[in-house]
Amino acid sequence: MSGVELRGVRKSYGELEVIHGVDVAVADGEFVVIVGPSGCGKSTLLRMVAGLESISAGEIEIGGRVVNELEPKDRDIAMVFQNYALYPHMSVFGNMAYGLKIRGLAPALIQERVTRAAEILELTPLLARRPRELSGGQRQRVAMGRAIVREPALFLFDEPLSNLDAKLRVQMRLEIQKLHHRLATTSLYVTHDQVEAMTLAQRMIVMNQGHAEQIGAPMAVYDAPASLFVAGFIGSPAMNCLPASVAGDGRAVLEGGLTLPLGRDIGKTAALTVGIRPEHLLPCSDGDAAFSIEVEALEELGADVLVHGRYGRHSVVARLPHGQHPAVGTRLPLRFAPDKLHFFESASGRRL
Amino acid sequence: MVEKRPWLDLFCHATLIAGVVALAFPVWLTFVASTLTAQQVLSVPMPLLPGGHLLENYAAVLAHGSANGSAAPVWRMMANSLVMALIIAVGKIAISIASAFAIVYFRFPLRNFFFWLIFVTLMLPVEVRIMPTYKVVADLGLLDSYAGLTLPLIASATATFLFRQFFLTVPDELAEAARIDGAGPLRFFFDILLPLSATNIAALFVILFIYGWNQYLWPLLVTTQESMYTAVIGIKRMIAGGDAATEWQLVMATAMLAMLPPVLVVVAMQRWFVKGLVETEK
Repeated sequence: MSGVELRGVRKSYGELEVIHGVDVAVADGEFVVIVGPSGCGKSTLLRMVAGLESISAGEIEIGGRVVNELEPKDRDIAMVFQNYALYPHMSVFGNMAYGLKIRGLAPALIQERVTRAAEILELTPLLARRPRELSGGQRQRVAMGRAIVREPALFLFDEPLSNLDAKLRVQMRLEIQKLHHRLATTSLYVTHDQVEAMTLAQRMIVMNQGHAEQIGAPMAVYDAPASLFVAGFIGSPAMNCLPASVAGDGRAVLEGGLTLPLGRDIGKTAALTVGIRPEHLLPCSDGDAAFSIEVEALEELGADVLVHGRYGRHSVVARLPHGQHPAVGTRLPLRFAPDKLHFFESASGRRL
Repeated sequence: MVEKRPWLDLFCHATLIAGVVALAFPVWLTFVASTLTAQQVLSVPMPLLPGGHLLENYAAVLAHGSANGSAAPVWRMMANSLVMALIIAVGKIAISIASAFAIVYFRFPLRNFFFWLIFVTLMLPVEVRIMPTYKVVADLGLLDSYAGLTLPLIASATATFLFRQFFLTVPDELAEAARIDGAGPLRFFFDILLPLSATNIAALFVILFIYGWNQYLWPLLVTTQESMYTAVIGIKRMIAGGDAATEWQLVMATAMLAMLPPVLVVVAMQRWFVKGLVETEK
C-alpha cells in the first residue's frame, strides 16, 4: 500500500546534472539502503523523496500517489537527520510532540503516541530533558522517536549513525533493525558505510556519480557485483582486481602469465579485469598453488589476518584464518575456486 | 591565569580601584549636589558629603521641575523617555528580526541587493541625514509626538545584521525538520526561531533601550512643548538662560533620576545580557 516508486528521477542544478535518472520500486514494508561514496547523489535523492529538493525530471510516487508537487508535510513521511536536528529549546517530549501538535491531534492522543514511542526507544525517563542534556545516542533515539510518533508511510534516514562513535553505531544499527522488524514501515536509508548497508538492507541501491549502479539484496550484490565500482565499494577489504587479456581459446591471461578459464564465451573484448575477494584466496602447498604473492605486510584483526602482498605490479590482499602468519618478505602460495572469480570489461567496468 | 604574586595582585587591585573611583566620582558628586540647597552647591568648595535635602529636591523636580528653567514635571519627562525608549527598542527588534528572517530564509529577487542596502545604512548615522529627516517628519505633522520621536530611529541595520548572523548559524536541518513536521514559515519563526533568539533579543533589548533612552539630538529637534520633553532634554532645558540662576541641585536630582531606568534595565537583564553575548545554544 505504501511503497515508493522512483521513475526516471533526475536532478540538475542549472547545466549540471547530478542524478541521471534513477528507477526503483520499493515494496511496502521494505528496508532499502542507498549506499555510495560522498558526492554520489545519495543524499540528494533522499531529499528529493522528502520534498526538500525539487525534482528536475521524472516522478516520485509514495503510497500510490505522485508527490512531485507536494510539500514535505503532505507526503506522509518522517525523516531522521544526520545531526538529529532536534529543537534545542524543547524537551524530548516537546520534540516528539511538535509535529503532531501542528497536525492538530488531540492532546490525549499525542500523549499516548509519544509515551508509546518513548517506551519502544527506552526514552521514558528522559522525556522532560532538553536535547543538550542528552548523549549522542540518546539524541539519535529522540530523532527516531520524532519520526515514529508520526506513524508515516515512509521513514527516511539520512546517515543517521555517522555522528556516533563506533561502538554506539553498531548498537544503534541493531536497534534500527529491530525497530523496523517491529514497525515494518517502508524505509529509505542513506549511508556511505557499506557495513551499515550490508547489515540493514533488505535491498540496497549502490550509487556512483548520480547513477544507480546496482540494485539488489546485499548478498546478491556482494556475490555478483554488477560493475567494477560496486566490486570495489562493497566488501572490506576491497575485492582484488587484476588486469587481464583474453586469449583466443576462452581463457583470460593475467599479466604474470597465469591463465584462467572464463567458463563461457565472452566475445571480443580487448581487456578485462579479473576480480576475487580476499577471503576466496586460500593458502595452500606449493604444488596446489595457482599463483603466489610476495608478502609485504600483515594486519591482524583477531578473527582473521589480512595479508597484503604483491603479484607482479599489483597489490593483492588475502584474508587468512586466525593463526596463520606468513612472514613478511616470503612468498605465499595461494589457490582459489574458479567459480569465485569475477570478470569485468575493463573499459566500461561492466560485469561479464 | 593562576599566579601567586602578591605585588602583582596589589598593583592590579590598586589600578582597578583607581579606575572605579575615577568613574564613580562624578556620579557621587552629582548625587551629593542633588541633596544640597542651591547656596551649598554654589559654595566653594562644594561639600563632598550628602546634605539633608534629598527628599525635598527629588519631590520638587518630580512634581514641577525647575521654576527658573523648564517647569515641566520630571515624572512626565521620564514617562516620555520610557515610552520613547521602549518603542525604539521593541520596534527595532521587531523590524530587524523580521527583515533578517526574510533575508536568510526566503529566496526573492534582489535579495542580496536589499541586504546590502540595509548594510550600507550602517554607515549613515542619524546626524548625517538629520536635515531631510526633520523636513519629512515636520511635513508629516509628527513634531511633538511619540511617532515623530521614534519613527526615524526605529530601523536598525546593526540589529538586522546581528540577527542575520545568528540565523545563519542555525543549522538548515532545523528548518527542514520543521518543514517535514508541517510547520509553515510563520510557525517556524514563532515556534523555533524566536525562542532560539531569546538571549540575543534580551541582549539587544538592553543595548537598544539605553540607546533610545539616551537620545539627545533628535528629541531636541522635534520636541518643542514641555509636555513632550524627554528626561535628557529636560536636563538641558532646566539649565536657565539669561539672568535667572540655574537651580543646580534640581538639575542634578533630575540627572540622577534619568540615570535610574537604564541602570535598572541592565541590572535586571544582566544574566540574559551576558548569556546573549557569549552563549550560542544550538
